[in-house]
Amino acid sequence: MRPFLKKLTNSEVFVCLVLLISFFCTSIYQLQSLRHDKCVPQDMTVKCTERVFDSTVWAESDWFKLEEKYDGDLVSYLKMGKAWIGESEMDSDMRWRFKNWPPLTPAFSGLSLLADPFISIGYFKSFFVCLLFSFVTMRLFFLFKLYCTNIFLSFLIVILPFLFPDFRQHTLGKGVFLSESITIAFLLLGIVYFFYWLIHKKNKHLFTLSIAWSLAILGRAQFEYILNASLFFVLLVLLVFYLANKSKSNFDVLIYKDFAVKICTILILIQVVLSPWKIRNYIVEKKYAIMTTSDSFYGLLWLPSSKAPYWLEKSNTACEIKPDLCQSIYLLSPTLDNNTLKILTYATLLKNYEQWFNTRFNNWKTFWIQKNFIPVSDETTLSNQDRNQIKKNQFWYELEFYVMFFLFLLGLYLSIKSKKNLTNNISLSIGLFFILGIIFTHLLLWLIIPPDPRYFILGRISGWLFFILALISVYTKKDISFFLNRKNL
Amino acid sequence: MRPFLIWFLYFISIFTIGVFSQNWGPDVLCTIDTSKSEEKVCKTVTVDFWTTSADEFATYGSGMGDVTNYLWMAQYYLGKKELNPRLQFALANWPPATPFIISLVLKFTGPDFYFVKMLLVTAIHLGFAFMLLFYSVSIFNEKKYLRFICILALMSLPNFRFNTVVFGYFASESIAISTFLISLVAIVRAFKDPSFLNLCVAGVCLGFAGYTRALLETLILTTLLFFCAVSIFAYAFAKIKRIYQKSHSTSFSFFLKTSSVMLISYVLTLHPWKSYMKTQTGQYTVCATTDSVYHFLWSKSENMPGWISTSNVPCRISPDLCNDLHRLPLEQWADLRKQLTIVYFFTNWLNWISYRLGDFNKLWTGYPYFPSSWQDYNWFMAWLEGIFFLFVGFFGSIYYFLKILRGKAHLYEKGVFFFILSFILVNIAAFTLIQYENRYSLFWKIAWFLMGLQALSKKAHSTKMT
Repeated sequence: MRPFLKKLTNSEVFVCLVLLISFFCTSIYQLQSLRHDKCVPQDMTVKCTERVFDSTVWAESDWFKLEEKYDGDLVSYLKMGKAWIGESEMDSDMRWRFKNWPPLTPAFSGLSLLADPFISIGYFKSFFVCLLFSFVTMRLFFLFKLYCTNIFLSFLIVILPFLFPDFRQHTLGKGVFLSESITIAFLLLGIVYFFYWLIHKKNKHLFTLSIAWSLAILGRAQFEYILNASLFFVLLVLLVFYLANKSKSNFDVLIYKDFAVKICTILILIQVVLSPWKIRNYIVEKKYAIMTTSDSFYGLLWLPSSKAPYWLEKSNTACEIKPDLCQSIYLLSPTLDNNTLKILTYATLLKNYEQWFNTRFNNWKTFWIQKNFIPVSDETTLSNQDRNQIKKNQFWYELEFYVMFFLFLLGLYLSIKSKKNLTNNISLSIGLFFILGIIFTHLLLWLIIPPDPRYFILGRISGWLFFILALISVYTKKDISFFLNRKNL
Repeated sequence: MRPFLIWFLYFISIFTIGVFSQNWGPDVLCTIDTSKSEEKVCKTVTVDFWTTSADEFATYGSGMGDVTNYLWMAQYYLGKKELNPRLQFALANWPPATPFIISLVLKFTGPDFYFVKMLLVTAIHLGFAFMLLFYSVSIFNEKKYLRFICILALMSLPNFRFNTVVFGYFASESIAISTFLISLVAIVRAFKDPSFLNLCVAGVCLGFAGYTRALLETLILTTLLFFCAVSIFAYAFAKIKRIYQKSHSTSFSFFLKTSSVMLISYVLTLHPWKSYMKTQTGQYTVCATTDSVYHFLWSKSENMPGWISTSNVPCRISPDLCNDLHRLPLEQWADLRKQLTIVYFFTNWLNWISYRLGDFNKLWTGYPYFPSSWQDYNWFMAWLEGIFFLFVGFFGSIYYFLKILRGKAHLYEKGVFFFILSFILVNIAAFTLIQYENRYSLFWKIAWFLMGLQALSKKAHSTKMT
């Protein structure tokens, strides 16, 4: 720890502390406000009569009371956490949970349970997550400050997503108890170090980003597809660059090759870090994957509208296209294999792609903008104050999407405008293409999977990441690494 | 006069081999009597090669499968049979060439001695194809009798003989094989002398071959499209990047021109019938059998017909998936079978290909890898034939390819090589997906055989193109 801290400058430690204090305060406030939530999902409907939890002061025993009412992600993470620290046996129920949830968040929960006698689970988790986010934000701030000397602007840009309630609640709010918070922290850490690696070309950054991304994947399996697809997209771009410049200078060709090799190294390193867990799954469940039931979401596409959970409104596209088949599938669903649903889903998509995409496009808001869900059963009993609060929340959710979208467009404009800088600065171009890869992957996911808006958090903030890189490309006159690299090569 | 003599010799030889290969006897035929609630009715029939007439054979019913369908269709064309649901199904699902030829035979010679006359037609047609082959390949040019025997030796191969003069002569195989051989000769000629007329003739011949079998039509069309597409890409790539030498660019433009003309004339040859079928069945096709392919792939093992009992690949690899699907009402997912196949193939391609490779013997020889007894003559001959075609095709291809690589091949030889290679690749792709029987591989074998012959062609043609 000491050598690491020694490497940080005083100003870096100061910024980190300021961010930590502000994030932690925000997080505690957010978690306290969860006490006002009155709705608990139960049996695919929502019950809205009682107070849910007081997360900040609850001890271990209080948390497990939730099991009776709400046996979802939250309880699973805690139960699996108990198994991680050896306080729970690996029975059939636990095995089922290990099949359905990825391992990072439960491990984190296990740590918080170990610390429970000294500090409440809520405080422990919140502090750790805030520490991660403050470090990530600090690194991004100092990276951006290399190019932009205006401290206020730099600071505003790097903390921008935290100003919106949607991102805040998933990172510093209820996301702390779910998997979003910690995975997004690791994912952003990886992305920031990816930027560092692009600029400084240091191998230590490459290793850090690979480990951070691997941890993010262990928290949410979907990130494996997103990151792999985005990195392969970058490889494809590099191949095109390589072919286009093959006849030009030898130096350019060497740079493309060097980048391609390094990106392949990242891909391999990620797989190496993930392999112990995957091998464990292969031995236990005969499937070499992070989650052995990752196909289960296909069942949601075949859920009749009346049976779909409130948070998956309008996502049962397959059902809308083939209602008869959907009804039959629903009747047989407890005994139908996930693989059957997967094959049927893609067959329906292939056969009726036009109708499928139309349905998705018509309901784009359901997927891309976080929604303040109001259960139909509760709508009539809502007070005026609650209604106003919901309206206000919805306004902020929508604003976040439009701001991020605007930032993406602005970033696109800036990158086109600074084309000359980008042509000289291959690193930045690669970074921009990587973010574009993330956006394309999310668009593809949007067209296929049944998306809960929380699956699209990275997709929503990618506009902001793109903008940061584009702004750097405007500020930068010369690519320092270009010259450094020439020396190395 | 000499070609006529060669043809006559082939004709006599084929007919004689055919006559001595007949092995008719009493046979039990079963048919489903729809008038008695799907009841299976079986009867013993005896077909005599010399005496059985077409009318008598037609009464044996659908127990004889394809061959009765062809005869009924021919009788329908002549106005001797009324339209019924079974016939309507046959008209939509079987290609028209064989029934048309049978109807001509019946029209001009009457229904008597049906099998003798059909064997004569086969001998005439196949003899003509052999005669063309005799003149188009230059192997053993110095000793013509050797060349003659070499081509006639094809008749000694049991599967080839069975599908031409034992069973194939009253089914579609013999006509299809002869027409396909003629088209291959026409293609060689078209590549040698790429005049517009020769290319059109090759395309028309391929079109006629397409009329004989639905599978062959699909294979030829896909081959021509594939050959065209590869030529376009290769030509464009060579032009843009200028990586290749001028001669390569010329080769690709040559392939593009030849294949385009052949493709157009092929499509135009089949267009009248396809348009007619469009009005009848709603599908622009020679016959609407495509759905049955997917139907069999997704059938449960117990419902598979005997001759393709292991072709339901997805159901064999993933019985749980198959059972799940069959628990759902068929009418709700039957329209998805094609898409299910595509998705299943891409998600389980390794298992699928391994399974198909394990079943390769059924395509290539029709016999198991190991005999029930080592005295099994049929097994031995079938594998001998299979290995012969594999040997000729495989080493012929390698030899041919090396010849091209060393720059010793003439442009027309390159054309023939790449066309046949495309045809074989299309065959491999098709048989990876769809169900097959031993007779389906005949066209692949013949094309490969020709490639082997062409590889050994006379040195006089092996001059480097300037």
